[in-house]
Amino acid sequence: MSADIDFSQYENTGIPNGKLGTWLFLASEIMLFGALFTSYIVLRMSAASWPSGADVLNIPLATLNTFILISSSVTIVMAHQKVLDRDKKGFKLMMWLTLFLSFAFLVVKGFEYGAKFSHGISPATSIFYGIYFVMTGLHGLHVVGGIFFNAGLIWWCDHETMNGWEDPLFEGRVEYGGLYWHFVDLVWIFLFPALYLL
Amino acid sequence: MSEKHTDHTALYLKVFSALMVLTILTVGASRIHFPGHLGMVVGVLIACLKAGLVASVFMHLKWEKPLIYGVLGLTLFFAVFLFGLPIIDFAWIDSHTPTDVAAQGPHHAPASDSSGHH
Repeated sequence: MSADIDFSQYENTGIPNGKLGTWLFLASEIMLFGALFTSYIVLRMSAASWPSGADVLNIPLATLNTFILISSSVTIVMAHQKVLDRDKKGFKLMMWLTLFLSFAFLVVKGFEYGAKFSHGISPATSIFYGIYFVMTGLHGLHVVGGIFFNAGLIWWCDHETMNGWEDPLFEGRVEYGGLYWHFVDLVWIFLFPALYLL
Repeated sequence: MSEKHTDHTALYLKVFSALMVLTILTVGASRIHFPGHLGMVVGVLIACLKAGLVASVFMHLKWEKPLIYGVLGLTLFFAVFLFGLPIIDFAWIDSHTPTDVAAQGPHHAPASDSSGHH
């Protein structure tokens, strides 16, 4: 594979196919989480009473998780910048930091869930906890999915038989992984006030 | 291709600090007792501001091509339309339910019908 690859075969629409595909996927994700946010609004509007997040949830832990997720968004966008700068070491450092922060988010979330379960609280406890566990659970699954993709990118960059770091398309792959990860961050930006603060 | 190679590191770090400050602001604002629904409006506005920063800078929408805007515009149209319908419907039912029926609750009438007391 030479570096002067003809990009036009990957850009039928004037933008890279991978980027268009990623955005179409994210569009479907907007509809998925949008339906859940709508359910949340309708359930809350029709509920006889709705608990204040401050009374039933751990706001300091959720605030910590917000900081963690925002930081991981920065590290992955920096990883993409490092690919553009052709700095492989910097790229790997930023990706490992992203993975570390992703696991930290899950660990904090695990403490939150654990505290709820040990108090006998489950999705069946109330409508509030039902929507709380469904929305944070689905978001948590998205974090797990992102960890797999981002770990795959670290593995891929060293995989010479698959062209890895030298592949001209590798930069795009990192950007699309980042797009997905920022979307996971976006969902949390709305989940945090909706469930914990308002 | 050349515009992709500009170094955005400084901008990314600026957005990072803005997101941190906005997070502290939204937690702080949630502790203040605003009149009516103002607290909710403030919370949603800060969330939208944070989302806008992430989408425009981190997701590169600021420098994106019109086709992507088209895809997202269409998604936004259907999201607002489809998700707005049930929300408006519930709001309308809420404000048009006579108070005596609301107090009695919708399940009272069928319950006395089917219990079949002698």
